[in-house]
Amino acid sequence: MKTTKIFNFSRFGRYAKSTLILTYKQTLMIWGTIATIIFLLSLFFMVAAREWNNSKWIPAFFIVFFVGGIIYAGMSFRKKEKTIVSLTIPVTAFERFLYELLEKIVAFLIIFPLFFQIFSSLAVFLRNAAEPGKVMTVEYQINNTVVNYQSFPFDYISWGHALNSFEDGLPFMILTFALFVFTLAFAGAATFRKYPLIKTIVFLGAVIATMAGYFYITLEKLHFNHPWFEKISDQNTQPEIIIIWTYLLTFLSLVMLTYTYFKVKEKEAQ
Amino acid sequence: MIEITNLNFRYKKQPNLFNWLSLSENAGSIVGLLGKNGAGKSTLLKLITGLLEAPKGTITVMGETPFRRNPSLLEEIYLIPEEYDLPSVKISEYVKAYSLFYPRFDHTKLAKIIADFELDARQSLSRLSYGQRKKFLIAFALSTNCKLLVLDEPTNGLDIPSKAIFRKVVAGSLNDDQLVIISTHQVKDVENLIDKIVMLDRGKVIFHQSLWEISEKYAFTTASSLDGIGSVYHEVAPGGFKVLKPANGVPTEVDIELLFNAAISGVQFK
Repeated sequence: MKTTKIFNFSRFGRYAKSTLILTYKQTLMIWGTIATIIFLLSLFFMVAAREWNNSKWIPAFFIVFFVGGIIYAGMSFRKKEKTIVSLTIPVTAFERFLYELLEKIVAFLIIFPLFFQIFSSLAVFLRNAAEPGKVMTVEYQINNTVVNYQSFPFDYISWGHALNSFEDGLPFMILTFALFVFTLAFAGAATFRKYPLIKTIVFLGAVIATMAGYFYITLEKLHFNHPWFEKISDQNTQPEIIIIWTYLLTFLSLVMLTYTYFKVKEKEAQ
Repeated sequence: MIEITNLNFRYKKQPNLFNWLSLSENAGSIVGLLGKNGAGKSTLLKLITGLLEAPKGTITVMGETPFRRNPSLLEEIYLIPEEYDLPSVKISEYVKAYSLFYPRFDHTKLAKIIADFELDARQSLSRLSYGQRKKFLIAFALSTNCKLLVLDEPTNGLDIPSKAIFRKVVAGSLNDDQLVIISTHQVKDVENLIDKIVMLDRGKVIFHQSLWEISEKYAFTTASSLDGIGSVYHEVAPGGFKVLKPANGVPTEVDIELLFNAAISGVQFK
């Protein structure tokens, strides 16, 4: 089989250009909405909470990150009328799939943290301007120098930190978990014709509820001991568990992406 | 250009739509695809353009299986579906985005047809009426210079002057290496435009002839009485009857509506 029947750089470039011409307004609107939500939520958190510090930024970040990412990935692919146009464009299924993957997952993973940094910092700046020094002044170290940073430092989950603290591997595990959840939403968007996002969220909810129910019954009711459960709380074995989960989530994400590709390839416009 | 052999097709939980349907069509024609509601006209067009997979039987277009959706084949096929969703961009942006995919796209031809249809390239597609959007899509389709143009109910929504312009621009824009298939209920709209007719009924092709052949063999007349006419088929019409009878050497204009009703009612055409 010729490579051009699967992927061709210039054709992919044409497709990307074409899609950007047609969707840049919606994309700007979506990212504008995300920026506004980050800004307003950050402001709300700081106004509502008496104390606001670095430890509270982390859960705030992840809640917005996961909810936003699932919704964004769930918006992939097209509704029926758009599907007809999309399927008749002279590009391969792989090129269409790759573009959606780059736009809806990879771009989100890169841009969202930057947006969070910028717009939460803006919210902190505004809050501090209203009441100087009251809300938060976080100290952290860069090359043995203590820096007073008047906004969300973000260093804790930055790529640099993740790479430096590779021994605990936690940031990578979180990243692979995010990738897995987003690829699930992505697969849902390719699978369900009607209300893909809602159906995927219901499906995800059912999976999580089943897992939670399983652990509740086995641990709380039946008092079974999962050896790896104990290992998690054991400082010595924690890195090992994290590595296993990282590999497992990466593998599951790849399975989801493969499944999505074949759904896109076999997609029909009925 | 199109070879369909022993096609069987049905939608899930539905009876067979096509039973051993076979059809062959070469370039250089404008074919009218006619059939009653639910006869499968749109489905056949979707199968030909690769939007649906043919589970039994074979379909080849320009020697390739359309459902494989090879970009090299899709570059030569343009479909105007009956239902479509256009993005909220200006006509010029749409052209910039999609003309990239068609190697023989003719911008001069597009400008001329757009002018014929009295459209403005600076207008946003979302502000156009249904009929205006249809006119734009027709202009775009003809400008692609694709070898196969498939138009599903192209005159739906067009006003009376636009229907005449439609016939003029289609007839004046085509080359001998192109094939146009027009599916329609509005047979009057495509009279004097199509040169072949394919009729579908009960899952099969019941009629497949050129208008020239038909006009050689049959005469389409009106009569106040049926006595001594020797009609093959007739219908009551104001003031008498519309009559289909063997030709007597004087060529008559083909009444497609009468021809369609005759074929559907079981008249066998040689």
